[in-house]
Amino acid sequence: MKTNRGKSRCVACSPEDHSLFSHSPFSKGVGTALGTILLIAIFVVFFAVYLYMANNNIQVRTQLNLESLGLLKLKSTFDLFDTSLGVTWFITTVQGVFLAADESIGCGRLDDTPYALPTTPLPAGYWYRLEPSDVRSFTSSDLASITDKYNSNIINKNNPAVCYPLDHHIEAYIRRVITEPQRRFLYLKKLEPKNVSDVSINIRRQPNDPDAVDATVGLVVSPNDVKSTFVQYIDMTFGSGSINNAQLKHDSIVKTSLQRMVAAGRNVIEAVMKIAEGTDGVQSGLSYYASNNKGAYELQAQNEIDNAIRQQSTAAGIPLNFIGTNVQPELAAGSILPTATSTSCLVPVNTVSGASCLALHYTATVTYTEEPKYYYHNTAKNKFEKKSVELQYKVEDYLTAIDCLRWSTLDQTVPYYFNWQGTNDMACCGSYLFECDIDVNVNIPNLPPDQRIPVGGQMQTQPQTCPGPNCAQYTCFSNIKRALQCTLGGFV
Amino acid sequence: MKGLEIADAFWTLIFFIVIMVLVILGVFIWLQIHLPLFSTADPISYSIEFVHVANKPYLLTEVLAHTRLGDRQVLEQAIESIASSLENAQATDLPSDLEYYVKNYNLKEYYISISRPIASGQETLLSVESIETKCGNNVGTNEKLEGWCVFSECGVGRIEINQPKVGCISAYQKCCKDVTIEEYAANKRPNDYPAYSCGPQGEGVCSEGVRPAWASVYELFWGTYYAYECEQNRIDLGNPPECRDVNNGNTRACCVPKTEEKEVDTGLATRVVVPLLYKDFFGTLEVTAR
Repeated sequence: MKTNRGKSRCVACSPEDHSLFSHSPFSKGVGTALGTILLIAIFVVFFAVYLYMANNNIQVRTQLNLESLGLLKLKSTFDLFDTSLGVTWFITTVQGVFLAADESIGCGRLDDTPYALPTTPLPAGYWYRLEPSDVRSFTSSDLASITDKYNSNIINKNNPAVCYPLDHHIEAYIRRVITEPQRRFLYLKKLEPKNVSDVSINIRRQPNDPDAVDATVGLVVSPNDVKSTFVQYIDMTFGSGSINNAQLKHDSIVKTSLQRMVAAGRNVIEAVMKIAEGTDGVQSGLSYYASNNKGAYELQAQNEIDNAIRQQSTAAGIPLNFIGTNVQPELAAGSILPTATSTSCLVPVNTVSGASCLALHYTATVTYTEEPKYYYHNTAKNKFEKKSVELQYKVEDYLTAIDCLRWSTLDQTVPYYFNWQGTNDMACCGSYLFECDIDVNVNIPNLPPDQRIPVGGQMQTQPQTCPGPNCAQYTCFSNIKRALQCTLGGFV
Repeated sequence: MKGLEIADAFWTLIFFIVIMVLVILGVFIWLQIHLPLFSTADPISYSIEFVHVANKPYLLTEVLAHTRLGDRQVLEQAIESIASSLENAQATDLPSDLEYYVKNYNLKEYYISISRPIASGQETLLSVESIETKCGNNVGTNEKLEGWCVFSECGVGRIEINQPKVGCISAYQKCCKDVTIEEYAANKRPNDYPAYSCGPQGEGVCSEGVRPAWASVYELFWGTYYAYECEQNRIDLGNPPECRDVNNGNTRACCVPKTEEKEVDTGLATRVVVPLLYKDFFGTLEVTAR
C-alpha cells in the first residue's frame, strides 16, 4: 500500500484498507490514546495497591513500636528498681555497721542464745566488769574456751563478767540490728502502680509479718570491710507483660576496720586480766609498795593500764591516733578473801573481818575510730551525718594494790609501812590495814574507823574480843609486840 | 486538513495525557502526605524517631543510677533526701551537680526531679531541667522557670515577661509565660485577641499560631482552611471547631502549655520513674527527656 501525501485517498490500497481508513482519519490515534489511558489506569491501580501496603506497613510498625515500648518500660523499670533497691540495702548495711559499733556489738544487751541469762551480765557498753564483792573465778586462760559472746550463762556464772565478741558475733549482731522490727530497715513501703507510672511492683513479704520484706541477709566481716548480701524476690507487671518471682541479689561492701577494732578490744580484755592476775598486792604488777604516795600510784596505774590498752590495740592494727582512752583510777579499802587458787580484795570492807587490803578500782573507756567515709542516719534529728564508725567499750576492774595478809606472811612480827599522803602514814600490821590520820580530809575510803589512828594516838594494847571493835589494833600489837603510834611523821 | 498531520495531533494528545498523568500522580502523593487516611510522614524516619525518643530517658536514668556526684552515688543522695530533706541529707549540691553532669549529653529537653508523697499531694525536693529554652524569674527555688523563649509573638494565652532574671539566649527572642484566661484578659495588649478555651478538657487556648504569608491565597484557591500551628514551645492540639468559630477564625490553633506532664500525656516525651525506698520512707526519681 502506498500513500500519496496530501491526498485523502489511499493509492493502491486493498478494499479492507479503504473500509477501515477511508471514513476515520483519527482511528489509529484513538486506539493508541485508549491504550495509553489503560496503561495509566493500570499504573494508578498499582500505585493504589502500593499506598495501601505502605500504610498498612506503617500501622504494623507503629503497633510493633508500641509493644516494644511496653516491653522496654517493663524491662528498664525492672533494671532501675534493681539498682535502686541495691542502694537501699547498701545504706541499710552502712547503718547496721554504725549501730553495731555504737552499741558495742550488743555487749550489755540481752543475748538471744539458748542459754542466755534472763538479765544482762554486764551494763550496756561494758566488755569486762569484776563484781568486787565476789571472788575472781574466771582467768585470762579461760578466754580461749569462750564460744558464746558472754562468759556467763544460766548454767555457768563467772566473775569477772566478760563480753568477748568474736567475728561471728559481729556478723550476728549486725544482722540482728538490720532485721529487728523496731529498727524498720526491712519495712519497705509497699508500692502502688499509680506512684510508679502504672508499673505494678511487689516485693515478697514475710509470711508472719506482711509488712516486712522477706529478705535473706548474709554478712561477712573481714579486717578491712563488712560485706552484705540481700536476697529477695519480686514480681513486676506492666500492661500485658510481667516478670514473676525474680530473684534479686544485692552485694554491698562497707569499708571499715570494725573487725580489727573488736579484735583489739579482745586483746585489751586479755591484757587487763593479766595485769590483775599479775598484781599480788605485795611487790608484783601494779602493787602499791614502791609508790611515793597515793597520787603517784594512781598516776602510775593509769599510765600502765593506758599503755597496755594502746599497745594491745595497735597490735591489732588500730592506728595510735584513732585510739582514745580514759582511765579513772581510785583506791579503797577492802577485805582479803583467800581461796584455793587466788586471793581477792573484796570491796566493800567486811565489817566482821575488817580491812585487810587496799584495792585499786579503775574504769577504762576505750574508743576506736577511723576515717569518716559514710553517712550515719541520726534518727533523733532525722539527719544524715558523715562520721566515722566508732567502737567504744568499758572495762572495770579491782586490783589488789596492797595485800596485808600476804605481807604478814613474810614476817608477821614487823609492820610494813607505805606512803598514803605523807611518809609511812599507811601500814600493814597483823594482816590488817591501818591509816595514820595526818590529813583528816584525805582518808583511805571505806577504812573502818578503828583502823584509822589519830595523830598522837596509838594502837590498843588491851585484849579485845575478835571479831569486834579494835580487834585489828590488838592483833597488830600482839604480832609486833608493841603499839604502833601515829605521829605527824607517820607511824612509828 | 491541509498542513495538519495526523501524527502531529496524535503526539500532541499523548503529550497532554502525560501531563495529566503527572498531575494525577502529584495529587495522589499530596493526598498521601496530608490526609489522615494515609501516613503523615515517611515511615522509616517516623519509626526511628519514635524509638529514639522512647529510649533516651531510660538510658539517661540508667547512667544516673550508676553515677557518683560529690562524695556519694546519685541514688544514695536521692534516697537519703527523701528520708529527710536535701539539707538534712547534706545533698544541697546535688541539683547543680546534676545540671552540670546532664549538660554533657546535649539533650534538647530534659526534666529530672526527686519527689515524695505528702498528705496534701506531692513534695518536690529537687528539680533540674533544660533551660536553653526557658526564662523567667523563679531562680533559686525548687520551682521551674516559668517562661519560654520564642522567636515569634507570645500568642493568645501567654504574656511576655519583661526583663526576666534569666533571659533568653537570643536578643530576638521573647520570654513568654503561660497564664490563665483571667490573667491573660487582665494583662493582654489592646490589639491582642481575647482568649477562649479549647481542647477535650478545656485545657487549651485558641491562639493565632504561626502561618505562612501565602496561607490566605491557599484558602482562597482551595476554599478550605489552612491548618494553623501553635507558637513555639506550646503543645499543638490541632484546629478544633471551637477555635474556628471565635475571633473570626483568626485564632484557630488550640494550644496547651508545654509542661512536662502534658508532653508525657501527648506522647511527645517519655518519663521514667524510679522508686526510692528506705525503711518507711518512699519517694521517686523521675526523668523526662526528649
